[in-house]
Amino acid sequence: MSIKQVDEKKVETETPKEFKKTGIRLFKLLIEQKTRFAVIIASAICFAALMAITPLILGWGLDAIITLIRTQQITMENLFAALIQPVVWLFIAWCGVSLFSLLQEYTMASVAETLTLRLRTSLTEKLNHLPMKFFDQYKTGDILTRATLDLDKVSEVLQVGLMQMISAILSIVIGLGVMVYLSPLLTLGIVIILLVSLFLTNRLAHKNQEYFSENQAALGAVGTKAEENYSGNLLIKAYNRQQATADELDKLNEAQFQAFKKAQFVSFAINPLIRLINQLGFVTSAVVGGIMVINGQLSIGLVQAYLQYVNQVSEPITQVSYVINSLQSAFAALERIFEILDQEEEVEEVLNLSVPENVRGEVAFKHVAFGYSPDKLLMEDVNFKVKPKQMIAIVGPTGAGKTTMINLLMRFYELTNGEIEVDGKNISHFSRAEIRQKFGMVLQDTWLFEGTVADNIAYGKPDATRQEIVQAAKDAQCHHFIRTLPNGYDTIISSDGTQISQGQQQLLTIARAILADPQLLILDEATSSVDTRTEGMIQQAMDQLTTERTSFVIAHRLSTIKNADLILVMKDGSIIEQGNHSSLMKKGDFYANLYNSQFAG
Amino acid sequence: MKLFKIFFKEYRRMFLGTFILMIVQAVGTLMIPYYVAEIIDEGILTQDQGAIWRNGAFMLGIAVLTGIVSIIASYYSAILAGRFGYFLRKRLVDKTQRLSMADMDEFGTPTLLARTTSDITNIQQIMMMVFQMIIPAPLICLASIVLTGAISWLFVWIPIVSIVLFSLVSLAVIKKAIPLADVMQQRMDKMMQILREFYTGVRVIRAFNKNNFEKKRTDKTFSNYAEVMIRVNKLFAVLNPTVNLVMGVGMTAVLAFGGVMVLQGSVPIGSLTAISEYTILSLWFLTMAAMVIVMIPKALASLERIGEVLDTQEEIIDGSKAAFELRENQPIAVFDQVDFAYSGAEEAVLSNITFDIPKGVTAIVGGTGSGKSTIAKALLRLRDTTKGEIRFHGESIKNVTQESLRARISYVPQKAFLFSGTVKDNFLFGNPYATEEEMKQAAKVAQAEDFIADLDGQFDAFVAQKGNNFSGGQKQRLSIARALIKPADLYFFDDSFSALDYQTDAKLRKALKSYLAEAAIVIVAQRLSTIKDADQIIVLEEGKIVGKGTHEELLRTCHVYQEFAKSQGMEGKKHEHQAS
Repeated sequence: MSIKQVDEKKVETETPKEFKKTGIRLFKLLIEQKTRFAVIIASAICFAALMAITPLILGWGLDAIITLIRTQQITMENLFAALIQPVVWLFIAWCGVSLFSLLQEYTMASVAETLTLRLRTSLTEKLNHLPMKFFDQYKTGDILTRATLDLDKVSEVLQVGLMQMISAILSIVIGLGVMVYLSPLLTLGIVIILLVSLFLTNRLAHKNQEYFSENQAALGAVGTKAEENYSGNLLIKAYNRQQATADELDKLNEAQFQAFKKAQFVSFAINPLIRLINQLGFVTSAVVGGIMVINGQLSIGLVQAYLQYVNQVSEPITQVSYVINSLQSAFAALERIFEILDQEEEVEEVLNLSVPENVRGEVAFKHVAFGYSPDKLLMEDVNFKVKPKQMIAIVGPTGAGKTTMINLLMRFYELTNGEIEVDGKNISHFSRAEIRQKFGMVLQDTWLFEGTVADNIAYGKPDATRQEIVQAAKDAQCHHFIRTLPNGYDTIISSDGTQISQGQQQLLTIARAILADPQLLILDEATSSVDTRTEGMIQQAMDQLTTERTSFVIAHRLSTIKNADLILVMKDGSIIEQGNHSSLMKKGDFYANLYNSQFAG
Repeated sequence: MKLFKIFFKEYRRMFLGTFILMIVQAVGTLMIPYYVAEIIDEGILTQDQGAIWRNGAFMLGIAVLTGIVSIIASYYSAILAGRFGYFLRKRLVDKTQRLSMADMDEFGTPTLLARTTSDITNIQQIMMMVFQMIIPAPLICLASIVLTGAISWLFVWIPIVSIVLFSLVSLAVIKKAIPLADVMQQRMDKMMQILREFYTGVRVIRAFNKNNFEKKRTDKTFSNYAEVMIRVNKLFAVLNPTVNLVMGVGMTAVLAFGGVMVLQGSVPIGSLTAISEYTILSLWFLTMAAMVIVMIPKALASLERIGEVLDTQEEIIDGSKAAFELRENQPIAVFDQVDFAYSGAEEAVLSNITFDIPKGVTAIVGGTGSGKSTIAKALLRLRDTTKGEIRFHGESIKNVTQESLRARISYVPQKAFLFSGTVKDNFLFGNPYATEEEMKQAAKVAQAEDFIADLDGQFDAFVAQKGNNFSGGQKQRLSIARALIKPADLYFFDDSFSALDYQTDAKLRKALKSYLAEAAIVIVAQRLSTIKDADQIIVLEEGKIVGKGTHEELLRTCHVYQEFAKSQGMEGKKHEHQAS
């Protein structure tokens, strides 16, 4: 008797797109653990067979007792002789049942998790080889759900559902077989009742889903409002609106209560209802069976056995319909993971030249064209040349393609046409990883990971000493604020970085770049959230960084890039002006306008 | 648990009623095998077809009755579980409205949100499971023992031994599983977090060529999680085999011991069927309970987390006075040697801050992290200062109620935040009694008039969550208008002009001056052009005041201010030219 149930409340309407294909793929993954899989199947068969025998043995024993009573041979010796065999066999059979279920469950314990672990590690492997386009396309939350919650569902369904399914099918087949053998007509009646209950289960499960999504929606409304209240709390308190907001939320809270009540009630009322219908079958069998005994068509022991079969068959039938539902949602979840695993990877370069240890820092864009699709180019024919250790500024309005240029240089995207050269060599002949390592990058969207402030600064140079870290922080003007944090340099910060402001995060990532000391440098709006004076103070450190190496700077505030050797003014994907500050100002066109508009007090 | 007790008292009757229904349900469930036994003994053995029909009818009646009772019990448990969630959420929300900003920040929006939603959902669901799957188990067990005893006291040991045996094993399993559930949750969270970093940091990771390092770090969290899951699964793998074994022993005992009893004539043979069914049903319900019991600590942990919020001491204590005594010729607000520091920090955020805020414009300038925003929070008493005193209308702000203080200050935060609803709703947030005319006036001053006129529905235009359907500049202007419509003695603009272009900024400041002629205005800004006309300018540097005076004075005397001016292309000459 398998009692574990797949969590009925999570049954969803999700349907997999290609049930068969996904099934085959899952099967292949399962086959990877073939020894375990074989053990599970074998023990499931033994388990179900033994399970089917036990009622017969019990019936045998009961009949033996009745025969003794009927024939009036009531002595202990006779009883012992008649019962010894059924009792021993019954005990052995149950021990077998227990043993095989232990074997089955214990083996199963690691199958599902091993499988999902494998999928998860192939996911990270895959992520390392996907082009940047993928990361623009799929939101973080989406990937997280697929990799964690979705796969958890898969493993849960496999863990419980697969086993349940195997034993249920075996129990039904064997049970029904014996029942037909005992009484075909009665069994037909039972099967009809079971089909009715199966139909009803399905109907109610659907209704149930509706109510559950209603509850989910009500919960969503509470969550949205609560989030607004919490994130706007400063205002609510500053404007003395506490009571009004609490009242609004109370209404949503009440609505959620109503939705919850309905959903849970239907969900849990299904069980007694199904049980009631199944008991109809049980009562019928008891009555009809009893009459059959009186008519001499069956023995008491066998009626008793038959009743146990009715239970053994009706229980799994309801289970199977739930398992099928949950398997469907597990398949849908699997498909979502496969979708990612099937994405096209970044093509590894054929030539794969190794990048020289020391790069001089000559960079050239030659007829560079780029678009996410070849027929819709974002950038056409970009040309420019940079000498070693020059500082290049890229300016222009939002959406002009400034960041795209950087992304191309870092080989985050592949060119549609043309080539980019570093030290006179086409960078697509180098290995991506090696060329990227030559660049240091500070982006507007800062990225910090959970770890201490010091670890975060030392990300590009893990063996840095504390002294070097502090020096880098001082250069980036973040030493003071780090010291106001609860544990100074050892304060644990995390990726969401709620304790420190955006500007402070930018300072930390600048310190990181200073410490890493790369051969080429990219600063993409690296100081956009830092005030102008602090920016001016970092400027010294920045100047030092930029004079020693070739650097690309994207800046919103034009005051910071006045000293650039080359300023590229971009608009709609092309370079419309280039030159240094004074020549562009003299020209009095786009750049000059942009510059003047920023300094009109 | 304290919370549960309060709730239990409120709903005592419904709890009791549901419990009684469950007892009926348990007895009803066990009556089915009882009637099977009757059919065998009264019907089959005595060859009495009538008895078979009669008992069959009883059985059907009991089945229907039990079904109905179970359904009603489900209904009431759904109400109780749902209401408990409602009860907790209401208290939580009310409490957050009384907590200080410091406490709110300490918890953080994500944490509070999780407690309001997922923690309460957990509690609701698990409470439902407790009703449906745990409470019935002991009831069924008890009823089995009693019913077995009703047949013959000699058999009572069979269900008792089975129940005890199985309970011992499952208790052992549960005891081991409960701490594992915690570990499981922690590792799940870790897995999520590291994977998030891995995904969002892809550019930086690739730039530093740390792909393999990050993959290893992420995969490590995956295998840690799998490892604990496998441990949990293996633990639970023991349950079903145990049930089977105990059942086997029980059945064998029924057959062997029962055989003897039947032959001796002490019990009818049908009762053997009944007794074995009682034992089977008890074990069945126990197993269900065992699977669910492990979830209880999860619900308790959720309950504890909610309790933690509810038990937080309200840090800011209202003063006794509900009104200010207004006097002429004194500054609206005064900072008197104010210090502010986070506990455990090496350096203070604000130290020894002293200045007056009279009528007219006071500007505060400072770099990133110089403590500018903390000044607003201290003034509004969203946080209490570590040292010193802030006086408003001559009264220490600790002596009055928070409500009366905040009623006299209108505040525009750094990050423009709109509430979902309509534009009008957002204006009314500032002043619930505002007239249409006042709204238009405020919109005009805030330079929001034109773009509101272009909106679909004007003042009735839809505002999305956080105002995300408006541009940064529009959001700022709306949040300024919301502040202007509120009648106050002091208007605090916390870096609220940053997203405006230079022209709009200038127009707005001009309009403000005449609109708020009778009030004190505090403007925090980074752009010197925004504040150069202020009556006094306070320059902050690393939490200390390093300059106080007008634009001209500061340009001459304050080094930090000079640097600011320089970094914004406002050098001496240019300034003189503009000032004229």
